[in-house]
Amino acid sequence: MKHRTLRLIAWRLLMALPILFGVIVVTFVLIRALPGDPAIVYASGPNMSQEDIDAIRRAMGLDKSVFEQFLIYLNNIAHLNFGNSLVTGQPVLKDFGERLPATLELAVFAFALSLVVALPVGVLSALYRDSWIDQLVRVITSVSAAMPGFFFGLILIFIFYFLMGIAPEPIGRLSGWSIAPPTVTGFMTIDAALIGDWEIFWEALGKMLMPAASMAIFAVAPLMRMMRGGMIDALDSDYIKAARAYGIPRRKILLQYALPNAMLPVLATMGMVLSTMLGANIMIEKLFAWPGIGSYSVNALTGVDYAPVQAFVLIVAVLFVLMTLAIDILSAAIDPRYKLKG
Amino acid sequence: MTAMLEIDNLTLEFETPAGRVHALDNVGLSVDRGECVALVGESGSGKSITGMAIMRLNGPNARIRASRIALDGTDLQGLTDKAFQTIRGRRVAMIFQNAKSALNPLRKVGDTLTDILRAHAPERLSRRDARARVLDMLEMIGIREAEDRMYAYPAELSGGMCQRIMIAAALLCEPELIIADEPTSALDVTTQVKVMDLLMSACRERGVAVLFITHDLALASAYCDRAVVMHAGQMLEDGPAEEVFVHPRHPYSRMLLDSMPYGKESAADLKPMGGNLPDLRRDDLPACRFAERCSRVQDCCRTQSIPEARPSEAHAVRCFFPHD
Repeated sequence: MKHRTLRLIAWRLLMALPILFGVIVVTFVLIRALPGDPAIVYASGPNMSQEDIDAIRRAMGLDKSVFEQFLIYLNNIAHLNFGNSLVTGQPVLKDFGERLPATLELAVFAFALSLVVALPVGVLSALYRDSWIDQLVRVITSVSAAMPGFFFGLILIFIFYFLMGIAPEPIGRLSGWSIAPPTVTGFMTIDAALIGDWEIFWEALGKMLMPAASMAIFAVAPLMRMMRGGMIDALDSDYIKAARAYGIPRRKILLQYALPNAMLPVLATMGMVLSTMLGANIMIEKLFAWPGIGSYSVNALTGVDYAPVQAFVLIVAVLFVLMTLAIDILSAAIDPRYKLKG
Repeated sequence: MTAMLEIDNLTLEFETPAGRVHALDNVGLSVDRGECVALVGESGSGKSITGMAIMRLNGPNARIRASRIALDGTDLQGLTDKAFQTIRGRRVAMIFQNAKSALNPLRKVGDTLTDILRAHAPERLSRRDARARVLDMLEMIGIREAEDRMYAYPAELSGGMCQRIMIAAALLCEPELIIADEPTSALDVTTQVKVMDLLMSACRERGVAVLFITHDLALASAYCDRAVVMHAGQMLEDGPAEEVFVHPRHPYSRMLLDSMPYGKESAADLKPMGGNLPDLRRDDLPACRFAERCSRVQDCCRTQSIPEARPSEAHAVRCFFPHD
């Protein structure tokens, strides 16, 4: 059984390669279809002549045919060389390595926040269908589905920072005068806790609250709806009716019969939500000046800096593939009917 | 001797957004100790709802009124929900049509059975002792490789095996009454007979009374002592199985039998059921809800309450114009 699972995982990873190749092709072509010439941007300066620009273009390999550039790019990726960023001058991989923990910490925290809010409320609204809590859920999910995260972030900043002044300055992970703990995990809260610096811990946590809430707002709607729907389906099912007919205590029916079954559709949604938080929330990072891979990539995009943007899309694609696989494995572990598909 | 189960004047209505559904109308029936009573009728005639009403499983939108729902002489209606928990599964057990979906798909069947036993254990019953008793029960009703079965998930077992597991679940706490709601309708015909044989012999051995809900008249006549015919939430005929199935008095019972392929010379003798069940949301339902489909109908059937005729002492027919 275990052996079979491992083989299926290997097979799935192998099957992800064509997907990743497709992602590489599309980003490569799209980036080159964008207006803007990196050589000109890089060479920007009033006393640069056309010869200088051409020289830079040659040095960057942009004079070669697109197909040739693509082959060179593929070869580089195969050697885990994602090129250098024109803005920071550093290898892209190094830049990402420095920024990924910030993104991960924020995403994980936002994810946890949305679960803590969405799941219990979803369960309650299923248990007390059409009660006030169910109506409230309807309002929350509509608002949350309709409101863009960055806009919600702006509202939060306006109310809690600008008007009330109880939120910390919405810039970065720590305020300017705080000294960051030595990097161990890259998660500011964990690193602070490791050296026992609780002041920094709380500050880092406080700084995460508003951006995390802005990210969570979009995740709450699908999670809550799936939890409610899953729970209602489970409660209406034959096995719950049978369990009640056999006098199994209500508590046990809810926790061991209804809830695990209701969690199955939620699990699939969780994978989607977490992947989206890692990749698609670049606006939130930008808004809160969060030093993660999202805001880095936006800056690269506006700066006609090809290499980081391509690497960003690729990294997000890899994260999606891994997350989907993880959810599949988890589902298979919980549900005996779920077969890992090769 | 008091009957095992006694229901008098059971009326049940569902409040739905689409209106009030008059699901049951003055239903009365009784099941004696160790007796097997068939509850027959078309789909939608209220058989299952009657079974669920005994178990209080109709859901929050059901309005139940009854002069009596008694188990072994005690009226169950006075019980609090908490006290009722000691009835469910313990004194009255239920078997469902689709055993596969009646078992928690994420739980090993052995664990589900153990849950049931432990829910009703008078003293603290350890997990291990409970499992041992579950294993005994599975072996007793003839399930092969019972120990392995306990570790199987419902999806890994056949429909027939799942139904055997459900029979074990029903017998586990030594109930006095089993309500079997279409227990074999989801199985193929050969398995059907095996499962019915198993259920009935197990119940006869233990003296368990059975309320057998089915639309299959052949099964009902083969296994039951008595038959109760229901139509659109009303009881129409109640009598010994051989009398009801061989010589039905009520026009509806006769219509049911005429539509059965058993014992007919040719397909030409088969008569399809005429008409449909009336819409139970109507407020102008005729007194006899069969009136609109009946060939012997007269004005009184629609307006006056239906009298009960007794062709023999144990046989009751609710009709103005029963067959002789």
